[in-house]
Amino acid sequence: MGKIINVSSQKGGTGKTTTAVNLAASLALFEQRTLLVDCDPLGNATTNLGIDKNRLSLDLYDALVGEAGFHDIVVSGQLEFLDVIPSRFRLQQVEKKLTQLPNKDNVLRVLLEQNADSYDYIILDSPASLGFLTTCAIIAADWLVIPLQFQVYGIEGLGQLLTVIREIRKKKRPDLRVAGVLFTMQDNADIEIIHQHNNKLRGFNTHVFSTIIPWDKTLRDASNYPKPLALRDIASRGAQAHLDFAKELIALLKQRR
Amino acid sequence: MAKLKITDSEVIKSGERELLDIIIGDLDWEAIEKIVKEKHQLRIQDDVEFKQGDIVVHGNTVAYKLDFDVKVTLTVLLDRDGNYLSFSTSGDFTSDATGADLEEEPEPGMEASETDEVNAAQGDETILEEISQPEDSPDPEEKQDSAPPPSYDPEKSPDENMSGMASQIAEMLSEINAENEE
Repeated sequence: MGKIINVSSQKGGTGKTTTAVNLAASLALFEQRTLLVDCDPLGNATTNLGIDKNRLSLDLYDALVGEAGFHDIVVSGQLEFLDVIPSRFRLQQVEKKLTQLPNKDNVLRVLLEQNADSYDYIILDSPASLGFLTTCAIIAADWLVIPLQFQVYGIEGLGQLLTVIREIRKKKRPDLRVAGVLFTMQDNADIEIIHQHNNKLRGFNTHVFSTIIPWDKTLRDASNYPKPLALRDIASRGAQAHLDFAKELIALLKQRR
Repeated sequence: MAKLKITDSEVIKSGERELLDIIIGDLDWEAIEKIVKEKHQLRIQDDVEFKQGDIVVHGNTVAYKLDFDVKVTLTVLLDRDGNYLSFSTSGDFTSDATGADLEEEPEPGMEASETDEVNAAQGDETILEEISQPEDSPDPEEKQDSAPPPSYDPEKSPDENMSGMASQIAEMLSEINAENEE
């Protein structure tokens, strides 16, 4: 069964969608069968993968409310090993639609679990909040990757997210694990500070990916182009960092089954 | 033969009514409900209204016949094409052999309205039928039992804050992952 990984952060602007899209593309470039699930009603990951939302007939919403099957909503990504479940703004209505359903926040887990055998990795991009869809995505995941900018607000937000994760583990998913924290959007000075702090952080670094996603103009502009960075400029620092991250993640999850 | 009235009929009626009232007032309704449910699969709801009573001969003995109007729960199960599948008067589903079109048994304890709703949402897929555990979703707004998340302390320097919060987060991360790796 494929590993379901949620790229999760309650704070906006941490590079969550950029990480999810470029991680999914990098895994696919390593010939891992990968599915990216856009769980954010903004649908930025959908757009970033070159999918025209106006031309979609079905999306994640339809499957979650039971009006379409899994295979009806999967569309092909721009790479041989990459599939996508797109989303549009109407996804925000899904909670209201499922009001009467007991245990409704399991709905994404059930949808994906039934089809996880077709993939090596399923990457979930969730919204920047601790609302229903984020909870669904966390419950659906086996592993969490937490993108973080090394600054006070980021650390504070991470603490809040971990509190929620602890509750979800207690009530719903005792086997849920954090694969690691991924430092994103860091310039050289930040990276130096991270290394300095590592000595002080007493154990924090054991949960941090050694790959650091650098601040990179090509990544900053990622949303302007409907394709993952590796397909636009594979030699760029941003693309290389995501390829390194994908490699590190594959190795880590092989180790920690 | 002409009728010879030897007492006031109102006295008899009033006495009979009084007797029946006493009997009704002393009835063990729990026992009656049990009999009704076991013998007739009917679940009586709260409203029970006395209709009429009579003193009769049952076998060779005097008996009291009491009629009541009661409300019962009737649950009808039908499929999405409108075909009758089953009905229950006890509040629980009992599968009915005459429900020839019954392809899928409803989950025990699921009311007709619930079944329809889930089926409607399924669109012939099976996603939602697996979601049947009780609702105990973590609510971010809900008061948490465990320690509060680390937060910024304005009385400390940024460096101290960073280190302090990071240490707490390291502990939380270890706690989250440790149990699975044991």
